[in-house]
Amino acid sequence: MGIGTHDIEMVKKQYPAFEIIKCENDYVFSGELILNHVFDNVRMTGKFNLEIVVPGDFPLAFPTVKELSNCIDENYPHLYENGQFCLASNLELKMFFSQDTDICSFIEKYVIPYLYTYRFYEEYGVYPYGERSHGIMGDLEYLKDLFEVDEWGQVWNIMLFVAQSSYRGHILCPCGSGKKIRNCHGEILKKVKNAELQDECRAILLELAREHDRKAKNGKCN
Amino acid sequence: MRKKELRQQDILRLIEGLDISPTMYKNATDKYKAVGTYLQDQGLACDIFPQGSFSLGTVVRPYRESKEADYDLDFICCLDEQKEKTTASYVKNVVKDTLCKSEVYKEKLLDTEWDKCWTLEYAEVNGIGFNIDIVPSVSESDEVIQSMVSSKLSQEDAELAVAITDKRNQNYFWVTSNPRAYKNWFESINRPFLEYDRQNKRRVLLEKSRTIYNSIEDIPEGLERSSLQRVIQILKHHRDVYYCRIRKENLKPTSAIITTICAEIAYGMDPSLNVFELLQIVANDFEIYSRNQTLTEEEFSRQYQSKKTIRKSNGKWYIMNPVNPKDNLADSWNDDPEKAEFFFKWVKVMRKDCLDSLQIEDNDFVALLENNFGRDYVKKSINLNHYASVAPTIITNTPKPWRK
Repeated sequence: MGIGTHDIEMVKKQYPAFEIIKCENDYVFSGELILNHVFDNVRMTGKFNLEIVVPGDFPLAFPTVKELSNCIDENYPHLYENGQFCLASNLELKMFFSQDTDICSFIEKYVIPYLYTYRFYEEYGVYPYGERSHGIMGDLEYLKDLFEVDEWGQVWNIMLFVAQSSYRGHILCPCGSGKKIRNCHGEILKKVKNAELQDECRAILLELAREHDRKAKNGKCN
Repeated sequence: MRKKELRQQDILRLIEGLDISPTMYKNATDKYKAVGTYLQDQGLACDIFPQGSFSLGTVVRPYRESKEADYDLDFICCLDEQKEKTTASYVKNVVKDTLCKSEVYKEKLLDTEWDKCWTLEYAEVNGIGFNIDIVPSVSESDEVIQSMVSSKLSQEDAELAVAITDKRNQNYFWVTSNPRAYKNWFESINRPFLEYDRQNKRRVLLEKSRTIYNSIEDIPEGLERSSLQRVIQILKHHRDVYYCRIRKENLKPTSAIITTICAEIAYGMDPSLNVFELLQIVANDFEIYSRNQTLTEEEFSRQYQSKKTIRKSNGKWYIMNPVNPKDNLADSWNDDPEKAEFFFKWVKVMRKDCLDSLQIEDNDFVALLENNFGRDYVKKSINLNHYASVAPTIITNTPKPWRK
């Protein structure tokens, strides 16, 4: 549990400007991060003073990221009230850390793209690679992208499968393609199982069912 | 850090590179004249002349999703017909039908019928081509001319007006346009800027077009560029990129708005002003005009008595066409108030990118140039070794931000 010594050394090497402090069980990395990145021919630059906290029970709990010198407008829609970045949907981060616990690659794949998005938004008022809806809807959008399906019904069925069934390659794929799982969503379903997303999927399904009941009830009253 | 003056030179070099080249200028001129001669030879009596940016010397290469697009050049084809004795439908279509009689033009003619013009496509050897847009028209009727005169336009200017055709929902209508009077108006303001240090500028131009022109006298005036023309080119290009990035291309201010406002601001200014000094003045005025958004009409005119180019009256925006007192160039801003809002947002960003950026760090400045002109184009046009610039890293993972 917690960040490994090898990972700490990697951060030291790649981000020499970062100061590293152990604070009880957590590791705190803080210092200047220089943004000089390009996406789709548009380059964004900037300097940020970051504080990345890797909790003692990482990767069960995820690292949190804050900017310390007010370089991020507090009204930016993707900032929590305590100043932490909303990096990506929880499901997405859980998937990521189930495959890769390297903090350098977390910085490269989530923190830097977040800062890039912020600068782009500041400049042009739009998100360079889109944004997720808030709350449960954002999770569902992530899953729809992850499973690469067109219909919400397919997302529902795949989630149901993840929550209830165990992986067997020869049964029919829950997406409804008529193919066997191993020839269809097999690889991605294995990853989802490895990331232990069952509980999350169950919680989302229950929430959706509750929402549905609430609506049905209100409908009757009217 | 690279000096301010040298940075200005780099921006100028980039904007010059988006201008029409002397070769293409000559080529396009030859081609449109040939179209005129051809139509005449076919018995269609007409006069063909440039309008818009090609006639004003404010051409910039269109920006389409960061690709180098072909130039669009506009020409009025004024038929020798009386407006009262013909129809808009006939005028629009006889031009097409006559062009189609020639194999050469038939091949170049685009199938699409635009609302006001026909397009001939010319491919170039080096990859960048141009389109000749032909706008069929006739001379405006006496009735319209007299009504323009009674709205305080000079007789001389009013007589230059043409009636162009406009196709809406399968029906053809007449619309008044006056590109020749507009050109005269623009040139009268641009003249002193063009005259300033003229021989020197022509000499530089000759150096750049040695293969086409043998002496200074041979260089056509249409290739000369004043500070005012460069300012307009900078604004037009910045607009194209900005509105594309913010994904609001439908809200773009027209080139007519930009050209008119800039010329009015430049009117009577010191002709020795360089491009960036004039751009600064234009940007300052834009900032004043933006206060129209919050001040009442009365407050604004009290505080800025001389600022009358962009007006707000009874909640409506006005930018008057200098050669048509009935034409409010800001009409569409009143239908869609977001247009005005974004216009003032844009000019603020333009100021930051083209003027304030001259003092920022080298790396940030190079990033700005790349974002406004395209990375490959910047790389091939200016020597980046003069800047302390670090090559950027490419973003590979694109997580979408989310919130609980």
